[in-house]
Amino acid sequence: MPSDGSSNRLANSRRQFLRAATLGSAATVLRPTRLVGQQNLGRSLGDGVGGYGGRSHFEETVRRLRASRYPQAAGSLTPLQDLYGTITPSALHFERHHAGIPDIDPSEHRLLIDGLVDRPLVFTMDELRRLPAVTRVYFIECSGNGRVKWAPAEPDTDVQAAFGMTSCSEWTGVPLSVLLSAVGIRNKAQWIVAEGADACRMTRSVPLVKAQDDILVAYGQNGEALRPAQGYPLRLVIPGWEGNISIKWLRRLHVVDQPYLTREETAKYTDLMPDGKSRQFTFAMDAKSVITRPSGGDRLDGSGFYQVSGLAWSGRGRVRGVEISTDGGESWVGAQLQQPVLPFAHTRFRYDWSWDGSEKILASRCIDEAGEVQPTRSALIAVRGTHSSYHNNAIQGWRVRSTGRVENVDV
Amino acid sequence: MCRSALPVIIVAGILELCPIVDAASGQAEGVGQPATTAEVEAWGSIVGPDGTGLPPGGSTATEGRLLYDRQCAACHGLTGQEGPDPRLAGGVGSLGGEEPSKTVGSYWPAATTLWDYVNRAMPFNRPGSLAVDDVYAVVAYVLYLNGLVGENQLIDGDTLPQIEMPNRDGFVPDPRPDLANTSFQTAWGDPNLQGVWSYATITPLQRPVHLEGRTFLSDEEVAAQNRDSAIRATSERRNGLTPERDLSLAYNQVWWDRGDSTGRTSLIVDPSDGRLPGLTPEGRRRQEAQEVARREHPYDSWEDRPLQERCMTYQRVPPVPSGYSNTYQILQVPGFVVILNEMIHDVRIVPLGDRPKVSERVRQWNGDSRGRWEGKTLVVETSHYRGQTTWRGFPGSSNLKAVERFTRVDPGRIHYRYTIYDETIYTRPFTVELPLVSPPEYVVYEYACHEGNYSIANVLAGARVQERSVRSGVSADLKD
Ligand code: HEC
Repeated sequence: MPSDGSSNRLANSRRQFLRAATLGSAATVLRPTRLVGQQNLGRSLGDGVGGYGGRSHFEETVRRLRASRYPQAAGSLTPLQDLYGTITPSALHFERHHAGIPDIDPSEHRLLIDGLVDRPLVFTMDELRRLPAVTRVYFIECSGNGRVKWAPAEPDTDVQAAFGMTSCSEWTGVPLSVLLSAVGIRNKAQWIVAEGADACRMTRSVPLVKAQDDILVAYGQNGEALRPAQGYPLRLVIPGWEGNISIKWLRRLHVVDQPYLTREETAKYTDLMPDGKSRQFTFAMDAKSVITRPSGGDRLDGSGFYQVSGLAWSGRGRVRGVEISTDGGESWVGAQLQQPVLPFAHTRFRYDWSWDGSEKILASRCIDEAGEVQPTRSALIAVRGTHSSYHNNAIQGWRVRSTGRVENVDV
Repeated sequence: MCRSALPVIIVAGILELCPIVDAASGQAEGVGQPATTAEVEAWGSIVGPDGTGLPPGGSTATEGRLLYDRQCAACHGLTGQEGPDPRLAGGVGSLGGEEPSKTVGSYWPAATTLWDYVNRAMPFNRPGSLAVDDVYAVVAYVLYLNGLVGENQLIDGDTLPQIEMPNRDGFVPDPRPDLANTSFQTAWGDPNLQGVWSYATITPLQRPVHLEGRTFLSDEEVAAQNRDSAIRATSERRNGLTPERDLSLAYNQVWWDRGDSTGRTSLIVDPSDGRLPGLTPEGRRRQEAQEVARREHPYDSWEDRPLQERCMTYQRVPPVPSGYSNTYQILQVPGFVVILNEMIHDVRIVPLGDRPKVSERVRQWNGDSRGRWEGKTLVVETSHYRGQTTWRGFPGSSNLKAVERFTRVDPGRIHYRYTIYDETIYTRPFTVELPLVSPPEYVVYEYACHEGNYSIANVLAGARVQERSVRSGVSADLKD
């Protein structure tokens, strides 16, 4: 805490002033009576060094909780509108749990690999950390992210509500392929049932081909151990696929000959189509992007220059391009992509824009390396109807009113 | 996609493309402890759809009723329908409607899932607290609430996997990409034409005389033609045939790959009469010479036999649809488009850009192709043909030039047209439009010509026998 409380008060009053000004309640733009920017020049000693750092107490952005009956079977949403760059701070990584966050002592945790294997093995965390490791940047997105977009746009929905179930981290762990070669996969093996150590013992069937390709058994997130809400001490990270299959609190990999039709791949995470049939094992996340700045709930401070910025990602590899429209999708121009563009990772895009003060509709669309282009909402529901719940990657529009107010709109 | 099995000794730049391989070299030998049976048991059961993992035990709905009322009903309702937590019963028939209700009875494909889930996750506030027989009991009761089992039916490891769930056929594999939203671009930015494409159609190359003056068929006519074609493809009955007759029908109806009508009366879209243009005097002369040769020297030598009979090529550059194998498989790499016509393994490797053509003196049965992009359209120009087309809907000379245009218009369709220029044979160019569609799960079947090409010897030998018998006055009616 700063020792000088007065600078704090000043800063707060300055923010209140700005807020009042931007809300338009001040008829003319007032200039502060003091020279802002000079008061905080430290003339008293600041805080000393510390153990585990926290953020500035001026920073207030938090995850928002989705309404649900039980906090243990619930979700929280990443505040994408407040993030810079591509990595989601671990503390702001979205959450989706079905039976709460278990409190696991890593020295007690074990991973069992059994089933159609030659040598069933049990690993301690220490043993797992002895194995060859890799570090990769991957997003994890809940396939229910964007669910609100099955319904027509509500003006007040913001980016956190509509897109907050995606986050991107730098993960460290053992390639699952290494563990599989340690146990020896039998001929008939086709799938792996992964099981979590949470109260509901969450399970999903994972195709063996993907397991032998690029799945991580991760213990590290953004340079430190996984956060409890992200599976501490061990989880799967399955690049590009719907978040639910990246089983957290991983305790078992059971190698089998067929998908086990767990509840999470039958009752849930299946996509109901208008003909009453459901798509099953819809793993890959589609090409997607959203402008995070400016975005719903913002108010632009008069015409002039604004850099438009947002995130794009695809479960089919790299983002090849992002296009921006300022006229509601009538015309599109390319945005700049922050390099390096990594496969299965959030990609930051930016577009320099001068607002002329008239009403505009901003939108972005992602084109991935598989050639998929993010569709409009109407194109999406023309094929899939409105009951499929998952995998909505419709283009997001933000209407910028001439007042500067930014609202959610379908394009 | 990269495989972890790939060797790892690749240059650093390539590793970037392969997310995992750099670590896969290490073996986990000696790390990890062998799992004991006791450990595997302690981890608990994971139940598969065939009942694998279901422990011994069993129960009935009658026994489950009280347990359900006490342990589950507060959250799921006494009949499984009142909530407040997820509905477990009812909803059958609602899935395709305005308000689909996904319950165990209406939605879940396997009853084993219910056992596995309740065992691992319910009751929500005390998961794992039910004894094995209690799980069987509440599972039986939830199935009973859905009308799927009788009150006193024993539910155990044998009976549970056999319960036929109403929605067991309600799940389909992931068909994505399913929207017309691909930019159809390759990773390096060229329009993407890759895939397996069929140009099968029942529409004839030239407009039949009775349709003179009409470019398109009516919707009813199209429907009728497609229906007739489908009926023909499935109507064949072969029981009761003699072996000879059966053999003579080797090319049975199912074999033919007819496709549907394009809706036009001819594949030729220009000239507007839908027919091949008139022949030049030279064209006529060549055609007559060809007819004479076919009539008078049909079997003198293998060289008198058409190329396709000699298993060389069907000269499908560009093609006219025939009975089967009407497929293109298109592959792309930067700078090249590769077009495979499986009949007869004809691969065209088409360089893109302004790479010069082969020398004028180099002549090929299927010409020499060069491609370029005009916007999203691939334009392929082919010339340097040998000029001895003996098989196809139309003849050509060595001056033949074909210009094909491929434009991907949606995930499953390429707009495909070609124009034929051959001043030696025709009085004007003409243009053909073919369907190029990619129905889901369409496959190219391997084409095996004569299964080793013994036939040409037999064809010629047969002709010699025929000649001898004609000479000796014995009639022989041999056909190839
Ligand atoms: C405290 C409330 C509560 C109790 C008691 C309870 N459940 Fe549940 N049940 C839930 C909740 C909440 C969910 C959804 C969990 C989630 O979000 O993953 C659920 C999910 C289910 C599902 C899956 C529904 C679906 O469509 O996916 C079944 C089946 C089920 N419960 C059966 C039972 C049975 C059988 C019992 C009694 C042994 C029981 N439940 C007791 C709250 C409860």
